[in-house]
Amino acid sequence: MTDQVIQPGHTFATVTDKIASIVLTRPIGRGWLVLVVITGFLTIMLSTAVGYLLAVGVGIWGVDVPVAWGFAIVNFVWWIGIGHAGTFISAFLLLLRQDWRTSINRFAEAMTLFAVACAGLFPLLHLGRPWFFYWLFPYPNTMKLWPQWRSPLVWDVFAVSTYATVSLIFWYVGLIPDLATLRDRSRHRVGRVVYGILAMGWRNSARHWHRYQMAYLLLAGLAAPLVVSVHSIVGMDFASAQLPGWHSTIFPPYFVAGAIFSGFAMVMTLAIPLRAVYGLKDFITARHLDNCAKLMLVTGLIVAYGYSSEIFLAWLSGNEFEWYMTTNRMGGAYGPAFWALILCNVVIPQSLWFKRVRVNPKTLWIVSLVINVGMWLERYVIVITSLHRDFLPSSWGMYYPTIWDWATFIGTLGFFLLCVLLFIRVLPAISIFEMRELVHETSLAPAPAAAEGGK
Amino acid sequence: MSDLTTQSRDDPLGRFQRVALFVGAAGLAIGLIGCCFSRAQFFNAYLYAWFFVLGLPLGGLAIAMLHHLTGGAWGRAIRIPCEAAAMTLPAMLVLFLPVALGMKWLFPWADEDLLARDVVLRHQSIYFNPTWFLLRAALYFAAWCVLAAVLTSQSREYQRHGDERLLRSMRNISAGGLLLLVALITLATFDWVMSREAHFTSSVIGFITSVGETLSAMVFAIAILPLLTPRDPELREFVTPAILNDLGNLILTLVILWAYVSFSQLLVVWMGNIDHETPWYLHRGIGPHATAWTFVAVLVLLFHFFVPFFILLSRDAKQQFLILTTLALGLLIMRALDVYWLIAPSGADVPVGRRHVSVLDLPMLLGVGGIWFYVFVLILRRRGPRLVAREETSADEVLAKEGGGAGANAA
Repeated sequence: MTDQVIQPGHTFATVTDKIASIVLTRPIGRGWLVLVVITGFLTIMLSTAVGYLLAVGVGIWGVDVPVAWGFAIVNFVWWIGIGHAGTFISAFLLLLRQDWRTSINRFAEAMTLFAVACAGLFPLLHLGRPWFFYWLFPYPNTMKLWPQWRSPLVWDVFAVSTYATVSLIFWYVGLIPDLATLRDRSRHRVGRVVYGILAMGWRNSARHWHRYQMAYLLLAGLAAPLVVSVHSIVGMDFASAQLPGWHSTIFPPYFVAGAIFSGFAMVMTLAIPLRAVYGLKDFITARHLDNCAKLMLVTGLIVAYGYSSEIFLAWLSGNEFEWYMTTNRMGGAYGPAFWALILCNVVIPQSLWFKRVRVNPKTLWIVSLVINVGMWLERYVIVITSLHRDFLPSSWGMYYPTIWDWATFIGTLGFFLLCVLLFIRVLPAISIFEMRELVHETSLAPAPAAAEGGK
Repeated sequence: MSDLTTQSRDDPLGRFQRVALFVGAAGLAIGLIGCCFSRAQFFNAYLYAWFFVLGLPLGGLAIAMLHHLTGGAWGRAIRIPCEAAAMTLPAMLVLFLPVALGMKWLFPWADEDLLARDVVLRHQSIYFNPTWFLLRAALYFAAWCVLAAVLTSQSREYQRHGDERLLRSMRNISAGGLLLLVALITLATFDWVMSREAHFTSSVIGFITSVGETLSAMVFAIAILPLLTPRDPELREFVTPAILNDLGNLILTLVILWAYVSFSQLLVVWMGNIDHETPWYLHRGIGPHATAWTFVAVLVLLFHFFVPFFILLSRDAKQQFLILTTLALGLLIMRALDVYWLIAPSGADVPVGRRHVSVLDLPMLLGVGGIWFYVFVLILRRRGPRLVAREETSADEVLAKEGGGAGANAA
């Protein structure tokens, strides 16, 4: 039975009831409230840190020459990487006709949006004077200011803003039929009005569906290349430099693999508690856990391939700077971070070879958390160890994150989780109409009579 | 042999096999004559031909393992030829002999004069030296041959009896095997391709080769479909537009992946602009001055990426047997050109007499390719007349697909 994407016995009506009730009828639980308070507090901490930064400047962070890219870039890369799983699940797997994606795509997409929001914050704040962010865009101006097109950092502006836009549209378009269901089922006037406006007059007609399917497929086609392009360009941010530890030809593909790796780890980190708390085990089954775990295993192995190939070639090249960087990374001041990352990203994920670990929610959840930590450490090691000791010993230095670095980082974690918590209670976390479709396709529905839960 | 004589009249595969043997023998004969005049030209041409052909069995092995892992009807149309290609690996080991004999003319680290003058080469000599080089080659081939033999024998057994226990075993072997295969292809690429320019290192080059070889085998297996369908009516029935569509999409995916990783490498090297990396591209005609290699690079760019990319976007084109197989054949030729661009220009900064472009290049390609094709057909024939692989679905999966069967109906 572990092979199923939806447990048997469900009809169109039970699927709709089960998912919509989380939003419409379920009372607010104490656990949810406590979490909202905690994450709300962390969000306030984030605002404080950002406010202070705006008032005083980036000097409150630990960044300084030679390590001018500190937590801000580490966190940016980490968050944007996490977002990738959402797009991978919703666009890539849709085009590959993987039906099991259906129950996890909605909240994975939402997770993408929240992660991109957190990610976008960091480079913006790192600008120093964020209120001039529009200088990054090529627009005619009297200052004769023009972006440096040879810099991948400028490509990032376009890659990330395109990514955010397409993800938002994709997510919203995917929500429309479900918003209509909520509109029809909502018992409060406010709910009916708000969901009604958001549903954009969806009437469930055959013509609506016909155009809808076409639009959704086209959006998937647009979103799929973005899975690769965004993190390739993030990889290029590093690889286009000449710095040992950054300049490596494998960076673009290996960054993409790392992004999907960390993204799936975050999806599992959120999905496992979600299905337990809201009784969604019939929809997010052992098969989903198994498949996501396998994808984590594969992408994790690609990442490990990247690490080993980098280390081996640093030695083979006979380049003293490359080799020094490698030994310094392993045995220097930040050595523990390197070994912790190897443990988290390479050693522990090998447990996913065993099915028992993959389908057991507890072990999988722990492995996912470990991978989240590992991928953060990976970016930390790449950014910090390469910068802190480059070619000239006279320009070596250390990097110490300050309390404001931590406050901003942990603050985004809080903000992210707060968004997820609110999302779960306001919008259907699993796509209702796609689940009905799945019920139909797995021929579990007795008759189409029960089809319209909304009416 | 009886098979060969009885079917020879109306069997295009048999005709091609005989032609391949003849062309192969002629190519090798020309090579041997050339060898009397210039060892350097012979060995360099040979390495190119051998390395390109090696992509077919290795890629075939990769596709077979991928198919065991993912399933899908597409693989049933090409997996048996891919397995037959993988089983030619022992023959490729025999054909490695000239590479081993010609090390001195092929790799700067095997040349004592160069070694004495170059610090980087001396640093690398712990790893790149004749003994270790040969030991590593033996190791790669041992692993590849064992993988191919075990998988193919299980697959044959499954084809005959459909024993479900074999499915699990083949999947497990494929999961680990694919990992091992990519790792070893990477190391082999360092040995046989990258080490020809000691100062150039690229962490993605092994991955580029892995993708390229998978693409080679994929287009080879599709290009020979017109030779196989007359032999097996079941295959002819099986290759429907839907299957062709899937195969076309797989080619498209591999073409995009190849272009993506190749372009990544170029972009990183270009932007870094470091003295030990850029010469590798300068030798290949990518730089401020156009050379003959620029022309080859543009050809590869156009016909290895843009043309197939746009053709394969069209569903109508993909679903036509003639168009897809012709396109596959064209891509196979472009694969040969791409590998030529990869291998032949190396060593442009080494003394005259160590040559890269030679009149022997094409005869050697035809020679090694012809002999290989002959062996390939011999092995394929021994697989028997049925060329469609048996569907790999276990009873559990069938039940799951039907939605839990009894329980659901009762509800």
